[in-house]
Formats: sequence, structure tokens, C-alpha cells
Amino acid sequence: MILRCFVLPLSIFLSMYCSVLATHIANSPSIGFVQLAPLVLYLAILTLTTLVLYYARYNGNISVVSIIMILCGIGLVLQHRVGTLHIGFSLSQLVYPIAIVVMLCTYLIGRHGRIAKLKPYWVVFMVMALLAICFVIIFGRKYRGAVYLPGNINPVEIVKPLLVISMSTILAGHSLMLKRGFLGFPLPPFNIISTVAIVWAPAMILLIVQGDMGMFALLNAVLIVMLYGATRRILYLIAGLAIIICAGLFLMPLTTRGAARMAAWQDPFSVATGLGWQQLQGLVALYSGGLLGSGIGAGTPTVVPIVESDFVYIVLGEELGFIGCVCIVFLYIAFVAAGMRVAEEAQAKDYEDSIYLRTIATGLTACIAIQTLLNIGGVTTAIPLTGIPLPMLSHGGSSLIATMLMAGILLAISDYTPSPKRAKKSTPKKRKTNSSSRKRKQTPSGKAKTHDKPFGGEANVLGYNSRTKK
Amino acid sequence: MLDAICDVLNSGLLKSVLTLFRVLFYVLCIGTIYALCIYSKPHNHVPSKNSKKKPFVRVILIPFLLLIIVGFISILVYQSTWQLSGFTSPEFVRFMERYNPRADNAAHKLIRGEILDCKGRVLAKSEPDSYITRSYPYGAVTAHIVGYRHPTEGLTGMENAADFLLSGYSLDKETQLKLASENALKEMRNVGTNVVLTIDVELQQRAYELINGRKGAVVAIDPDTGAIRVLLSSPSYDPNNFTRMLLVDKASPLLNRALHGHYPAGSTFKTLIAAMMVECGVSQTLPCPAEGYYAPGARRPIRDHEYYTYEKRGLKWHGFGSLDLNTALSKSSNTYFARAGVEAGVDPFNDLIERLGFKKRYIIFEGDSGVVSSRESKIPYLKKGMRRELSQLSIGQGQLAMTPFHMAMLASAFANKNGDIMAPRLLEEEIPRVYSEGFSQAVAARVRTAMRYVVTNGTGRGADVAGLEVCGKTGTAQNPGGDDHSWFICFNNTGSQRLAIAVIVENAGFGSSAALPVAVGVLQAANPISAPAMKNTSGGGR
Repeated sequence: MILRCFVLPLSIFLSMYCSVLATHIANSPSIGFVQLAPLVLYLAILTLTTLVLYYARYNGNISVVSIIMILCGIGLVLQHRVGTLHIGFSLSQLVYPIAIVVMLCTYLIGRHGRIAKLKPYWVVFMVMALLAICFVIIFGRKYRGAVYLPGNINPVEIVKPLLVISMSTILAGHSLMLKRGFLGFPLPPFNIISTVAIVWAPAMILLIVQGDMGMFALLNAVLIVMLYGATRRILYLIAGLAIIICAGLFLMPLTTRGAARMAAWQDPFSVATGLGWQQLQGLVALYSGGLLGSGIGAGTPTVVPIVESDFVYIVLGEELGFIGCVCIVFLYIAFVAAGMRVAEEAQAKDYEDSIYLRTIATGLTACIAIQTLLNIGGVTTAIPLTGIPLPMLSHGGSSLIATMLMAGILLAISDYTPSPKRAKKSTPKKRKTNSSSRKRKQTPSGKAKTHDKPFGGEANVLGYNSRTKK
Repeated sequence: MLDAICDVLNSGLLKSVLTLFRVLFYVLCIGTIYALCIYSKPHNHVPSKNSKKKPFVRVILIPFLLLIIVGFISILVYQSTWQLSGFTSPEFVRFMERYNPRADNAAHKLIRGEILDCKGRVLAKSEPDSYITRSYPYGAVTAHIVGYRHPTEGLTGMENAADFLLSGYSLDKETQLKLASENALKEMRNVGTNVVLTIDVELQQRAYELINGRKGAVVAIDPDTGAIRVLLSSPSYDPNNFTRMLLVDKASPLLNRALHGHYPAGSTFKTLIAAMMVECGVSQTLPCPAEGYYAPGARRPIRDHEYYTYEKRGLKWHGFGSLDLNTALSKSSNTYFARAGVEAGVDPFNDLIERLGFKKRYIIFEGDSGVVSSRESKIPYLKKGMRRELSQLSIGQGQLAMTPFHMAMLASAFANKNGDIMAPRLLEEEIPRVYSEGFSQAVAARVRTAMRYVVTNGTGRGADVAGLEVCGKTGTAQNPGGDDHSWFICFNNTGSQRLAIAVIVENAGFGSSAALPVAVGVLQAANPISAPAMKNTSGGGR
């Protein structure tokens, strides 16, 4: 664990940080607080995380932690490199530590399957999400095309985990009905689909009112993946993907900004000095990076306007080259794989709860994955620009904290170790609620059945004694 | 110690150090990903019979993962089309050549063409040791028309508009785009074409000295060919060291007043009214009483300024009585031209303005990457019965805003033997063509006579340079922004080089005192030796 959570991230961090330091020293032979701050911060972050996980006896997926720490380190170096950490001693420097603390706290609070206790309170989360969007609609002010609250806080970011958690209750609750179908075609009863749609609709309508089309697309894609995660019907994924792409191409030109971005995507050279400027400058930076890049600190990515935010991928592309980009992309893929494993292995006291946790984990992983996909695709002009930041790398406190909150939930789901005392006390008896056993009999797919087996044992190990005793 | 490291790094080691760290990063990342794949054994904490040997493939959520991988890889492939083979897109290469400020930009190795004036003097050239920096030997004198090319601030003026030519491409877009990507592929640079302007930098410099930093503009056009000899805006700036401070300078030195300045034309506009009344056959002798002219519907009369001068001194002015065109123009009588304009009518006025094309933006040079153009002048379209407005316009006031460039075009119409406006051009190689039919020969000749009378007997007496037979018209334009603008438009009928000149000096008072000397100076500089030689012939011609 120390190797993967401390040494590996630190060595990757150092390989980038030393490069920045070397270019700095070559330009001016002096080292100030500003130059050392990222190293100190990162060491503190790593030590804190490792210690907390060690003493909390983290028994979950180590890969997730490892990749999160690596990505945070890369993000810290990049922000240091483009100069967002240079402005005195301010909150912007402490964004990464704060986010890590948020992650750890979420983990500590939610571990041992306590996340599953959120299940009945989905209405609360939904209302919180709706309030957050309303808050922005009412008090928001425009800044760089997006809407923020004073202090450039963007509460819409927090909507992502909130919606994922609350929708998971609905989807997990109806997972069996949603699974129903014919030859793999999901044909769920209309009333179930309409329930999902009715719960989902208000948030989406508010997002359209607010005009945040990037978030709108992201959340809908996440819903599709969650639907798939809860039911494991591939057709949901395929059909949903097709609908999302069609709807995106159809809906995006409806807003003026969306239409302008579509035009800039189709022919960036026609608006070269206008909307296409940032993207084209980004591509120029990529081109000058080439295969191997210029080395971190040696390029001039700051030519691209606001490179530290959505376009932080460009810095990587210019200074680490195409190979560096491939490395980063595969790190994200590894994160998604690890997140999916967490979802796969999600365990709880009973079957329904584990489905619930699985749906949450799928949703959160999908959220980060699709965010990355939209961001990188937008920056490289593969798809229209959506204004979605790159998780864990982009500058932006709200986004980072929301991402780390999601990561914390993932860790909490991953770490499902019953405390030894409780495990001993619990009696291995078949004490399941009637409803859940009945439902399992109904499960039509063999896959789900085989999957259920380990849970049978676990449920016995845990039993309901611990819960009933409380 | 740090100094020692710095020296070592700067002695060529930095590159290898950076490469080392980069390779380290790649190795670590790939190693991490590989390790994570290897060690991603199933993770079941609760000992259970079935879950012990759960292989990686059993992950049922793998379709989503596959989808994500496919998505990412296709994006990476797309990214590589830019990052690794961007040179195959000609437009992208063009964009990089223009807007990539990095030193390794291949375009910066291009030997950019020079900008020359009509006599072959260099207005802009590239420094041989660093191709990015351009130097402008005449600096502020030609700043507005030549423009600047700054590594990070971009391009303006002819540097921008003629960028394709200067970069060595022909104006044919197809072939030049092909060439661009071929060159990027071969890393071979072509040498840029020189661009020869019609500007005569000697005259331009003379005008710059005479206007002496006051706000204003000078435009001089050859009336027979349309070649723009002088295009000066003042105050100017030094394009050799462009700073961002210029953007917030209150005197707005970056504004090209000659092409984009809007000014009330004042009395110089009366030449146009004179041409209109001759064209419409209005009687050229009109009464000009002291109480002025009441246009139909007007509450206040339009009076001559003599009335006000007398009033100030406490005297009573008795008026001009009856004036003919020559005298009226030379005395710049408001009453006369207000009446003349109204008598000619609204429709002829609209038609004339339409014909002269002053309400359109005039594109002087159109390159592939930008244009040098003049702003449209603001002349209201008059509806039937708007005779009060017409009377205002006839003396160059009211809702009228002309650019100095258009005033020079107006002067060139009178100066042209056929009364045509030749299309003003900046590129020496461009063929002269007629922009607008302007006036008939007879009308132009009549107005010429009247303008000649202004110089010999009227307000423009200071412009009577021996041997050049200068015709002109002064203007003193009232404006809401402060003191009157000083105008002078003129042209010379004889001399080695004919020029139609428009000069404006902002807030400088009478046209004869501020603008006229500038125009005369330019005319004298254009015809230096002709003065004594031509004296006899011009004297005989009078």
C-alpha cells in the first residue's frame, strides 16, 4: 500500500516537478516559497492520505487511491507550472489539500457500507441538487461564458454526486423491473420508466433554464450508464449512447452559445480570431509539442488563453508530447477500470443495498470518465467544446472538490470491511427479508444469479443482528 | 550552489535533463498502468469460496469500459492528426504561421518580403538575424498604413492585409495553401514577395513634420491614377516598439484618422453643393442678405459668419447683397449655399451622394488575410421635404460626418479632367480604374474655376503657390466636441505631380490657418523644381 499510495505517485510527481524546477533554475537561480510550495503540499497530501488509510485499515481497491493520488500530483504540478498557484498565499493553493480532506472525510464517514444508509433520503439529495441549480439561476453572474456565484464558486458541480446518489435509489429500487425484457431487449413497464423520467426531469429542465448544456449532456450520459449499471442490459448503453449523440447534435444549436460552439467546431478556421482562437491556439500548442514534447516547464502553453482551466490538457500535450497524452489518457482509463471494479465488487448487507451501491459507484465512475471524454474531445476539436473541466487536473475549486467527494464515496463503497467485533457477533443464519429472496428468484439472467452467490455468504456473515441490535 | 546549477543547466544540459525527466515520467506512467492491470486481482475481503478466483475478465461492467476505451482511443487518434500530422492541413499551417508566437515556429524562418514605397524606399523589412522582428525605418511616419507585425500582439495595416504576399504566396488561394503545407513538410521556407505601395514617403514625412503631432489627418491622391501618395494620421506611434500602453492612450494614436475618423465637413462640403447646383442649372447669382436664409420649416436662419463677427463688435452688417458662385465660394457664404442647396432639391442631393459612393465602405486593398479600408461617411438620406436638413448639410454641418479620405476623393473628382473619381489604390502594380463617374467635364471645370478663385481672391490665398495653379477650399467645421476643426481640400492643376489633398487638423480653428499650410507644404514637396520653370506658362494661362 505504501508503494502504490505513496512512492509511485510521489515519483511521478517528482519526475514532473523536478523538470519544472530545472527550467526555473536555468532561468533564474533562486528558489522561493512559491517554487517549494507544491512539493510541500503534495508531501502533506500523500502523508495524510496514507496515514488515514492505514489507520482506518482501508481494505478496498488500492488502484483507485493510487490513480487519484497520481492525477492529483499531476494536477498540482500543472497548476504550479501555468502559475495559478503563484498568487501569494491564498485559498487557490490550498484547493488540493482541501479536496483531499473532503475525500478522506467522505470516506471515513461513509465506509463500512454506511453509504447505503443514504438510500431512503433520495428526496433530500434531489431537493438539494435542485436548490443548488436554482441558487445559480437566481444569484449567478456571467463570467467567461459560464455562470458562477460570487467568488467564482460553481455550486452546479455538486449536483453531479447529489443526482447520482438520489437516482441510484430509484434505479436500484426498480432494477428488476427495468431489467425485464425480451431476448436482451429491455422492455420495462411504462410506469417504471415514467417514474424515472419524472424524477429526473426537474433537474434537467432547471439545467436547460440555466443554460449549462455541458452539464446537461454529462448528466444524461451518466444516467444512461447508471441505468446500465443497475440492470446490466447492454442495449440501454447502446441505445442511450445513440440518443445522447443525436440529442446533443440537435439540442446544442438551440442556444446561441451552443450554436456558436458548433460552428467553431465544424470549421474553426472560419472564426479563427474569434471563438475558434482558443481551440486553434490549443492545437498549435499540441503541434509544437509533437511526439515527445518540450519537457515540462520548457514550453509556452500560456499562449493559449485561460489554459489552466478547461485547456489544461494542452499543457500536457505541448510539454509531454503525444506519448504523455497517451499516458494520461490511459491513467484515466485505468481509473475507470478500477472504478468499475469497485462497482462490481460493491457489497452491502443485502442484495438491494449492494445494487444500490453498485449503481452509485457506476454513476460516479461514469461521471468522471465522461467528463474526461468530453473535455479531451472538446480540446482536441473531436467534439464541440462543452466547457467541462478535466477532473482532478483543471483549475477550479468547486469542480475539484466535487470530484474528490465522488472519489471519497468510491473509496467508501470499496472499503466494506465489517469490523471484527460485529462479524463475530453476527450469527450465520438465513435471515433475509422475504422481499429480497423473492426477488432473487425472479431474476431472469444467469449472470446475476452467479453474482448473487457470494452475497449470500456475506449477508450471513454480516447478518442483520448488527443492524437490529442497534 | 544554485548559481552553479544554473550555469551547468544553461551550458546545454537542460535539454538532456528535461528529456531524462520526461522519459522517467513515461516509464513511470506506463509502469503504473501495467502494474495496476497485473495486480487488479479480485478484491474480496470476506473469505468466500466462489469469489477467490474471480478473474479480471469476469468484470461484467466491461462493456462500458470498452466503450470508454474506444472513445478515448478514437480521440487520441484524432488528436494525433493535429499533433503529429498537422502539416497536412494547409489552413492549420497558415494559422500557425500567422499566430504561433513560439520561437520554433517554422514560419518564423521565412524571409518575409519588404514593404517599399513608390520610389523604392524601404518602409518595412525583416531583421536578417531574427526573422520574427520587423523593423520600420520610417517609424511613426508610416505607422498607420504599413502597420506592424508583433510576435505576440499580431498584425495590422498592410502587414496584415498583404500577409500572404509578404509570406511568399501568390494571391491565388488554392495554390498557395497547397504550397504552405508542402513547405511545412519539407521544412523549406520560401522567400516573401516585396510589396510596393503607392505611398511617397518623402511627402508623407513632410506632412508628418508639418502636422507636428497635432491630432489630424492628411490624405493625398493622384487624381489621374488614383494612387494614394500620402495617408497620414496623427498622432502616430512607433511600430518598432509597440506597447500595450498605446491601447489606453487618450489621444488614441492607434486610430487611423485618415480612414476611420468621422468629422463634420464644414465649408469644404460647399464644393460638392456648388457642383450640384451647376449640375441642376440653379441660377448662379443668388441674394445673400444680412438676415440670412430661412429654409422652409426652419426657425432660425442660416447666416454668414460675417454677421456674427460684426455683431460681436457691436456693428451692423449689411450683407453681401447678390453673389455669384465664384465670390460665394471664395467668401464661403453660408447663406448662398444653403439657398443653393435647397433650390437644387432633395432628390439631386441623394442621387449625387449615391453616385459618388461616399456612403459605402471603400476597400483600398483586400488581401486574403485582411483589408485596408476606409469607413463609410455618414450622410443622411433625405426624404422629401427635408429641406431644413438639406440647408444644414449644404454648409457641411448637421448630421454629416465625412472621413478625410472621402474628402480627398471629392477633391480628386474636381481635379480629374473628366470629373471622374479614380479608384484610390495602395498597390503600385494595380491598374488604375474609375471608381465613380463623378461629375461631367463641364461641371468639374466650373467648380475648378470657382475653387481657383478661392485661392486667388478668397479664404485660401495662402495656398497660391507660384506655378502650381492651386485650387482649394478652406473649411472651419463647428463640432460639439470643442473648438472648430480646421479643414483644407485642394489640388494643383499644373506641376510635375498633380495631387488632390485633404487635410484636417482637429480643434485648430480656421481652415486657412492650420490645415492650409500643411497642404501647401505637401504640394511644394511634391513639385520641388517645377515652381520657377512653370511660372511663365501658368502666368500666361491665367
